[in-house]
Amino acid sequence: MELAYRLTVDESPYIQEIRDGMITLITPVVEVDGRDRMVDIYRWHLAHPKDFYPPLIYWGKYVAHDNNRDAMGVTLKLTENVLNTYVGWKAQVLHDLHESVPYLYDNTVGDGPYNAWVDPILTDEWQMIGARNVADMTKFGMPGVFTHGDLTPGPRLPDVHRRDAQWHQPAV
Amino acid sequence: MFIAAMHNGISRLYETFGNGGADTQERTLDPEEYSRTWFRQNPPLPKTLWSQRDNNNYEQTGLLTSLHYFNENKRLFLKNFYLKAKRSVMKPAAEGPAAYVLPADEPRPGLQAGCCACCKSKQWKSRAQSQHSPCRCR
Repeated sequence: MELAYRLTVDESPYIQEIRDGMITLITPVVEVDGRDRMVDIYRWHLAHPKDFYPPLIYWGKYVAHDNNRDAMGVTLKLTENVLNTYVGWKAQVLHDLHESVPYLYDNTVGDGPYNAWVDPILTDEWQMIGARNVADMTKFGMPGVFTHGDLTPGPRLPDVHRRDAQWHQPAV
Repeated sequence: MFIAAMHNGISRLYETFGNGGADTQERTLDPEEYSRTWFRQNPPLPKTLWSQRDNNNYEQTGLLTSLHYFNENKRLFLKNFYLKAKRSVMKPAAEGPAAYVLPADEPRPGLQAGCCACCKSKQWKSRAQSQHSPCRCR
């Protein structure tokens, strides 16, 4: 939400240029029930700091991390919501935020092999944006930003079952 | 994110360091995580105090730089968006079938399965070879 605030009111030229040229849609939480459950557990943890802090078994009613595998099947309402918003706005980019390795892995590029039937225009765009992202953040003095790597790279189209928009993750 | 890749857009994804909750923690990395490698010339620190604020700073900075870069090149990306859509429409005519429809109520499911196996084996042959195949599956 801080990003939304900055994009809305920040008067620096850098942000103004984005605001003047781009339409940005932000979905803070896709898996809203999972977010509520996670907040409940975290509050319990704050009240019992010395006790074991259990992970969630399910995020949704019958769904755990497989909500992150629903892009092709679209079996969940949350996937349907993302799809309808994306297609309805004819958006050009869908940016998904996950949480894992240090510090920021732009794993859209990954390490291949890419599916040979993906349009090469798209694979070129992955490289363009990923490489520029690493360069800019490095210039800002931020260590640990990289784009090639071996953690479940998104560009493999067989992974189509395994990727979708951001979920309950508290970092988002 | 593959919703974008499957609709001629651009799919993007970040993995950002996190503590699995909102607690600030001292994090010690494994050597393979902080080593300098061919794809990570500016590696993370071996040990750091990591908070939710750090996570948000990285994600927000990454998103702003991406948005700004995209805005700088919006005409190029818009043209690419058009070209990817156009090429996807042309692809079946230019390169052959893009999809097959298999009725769920097929009265001869065994024959359907046989045709599927035949088509699958054809994927590994050249298009010219498959055109002369005796298989009549549609």
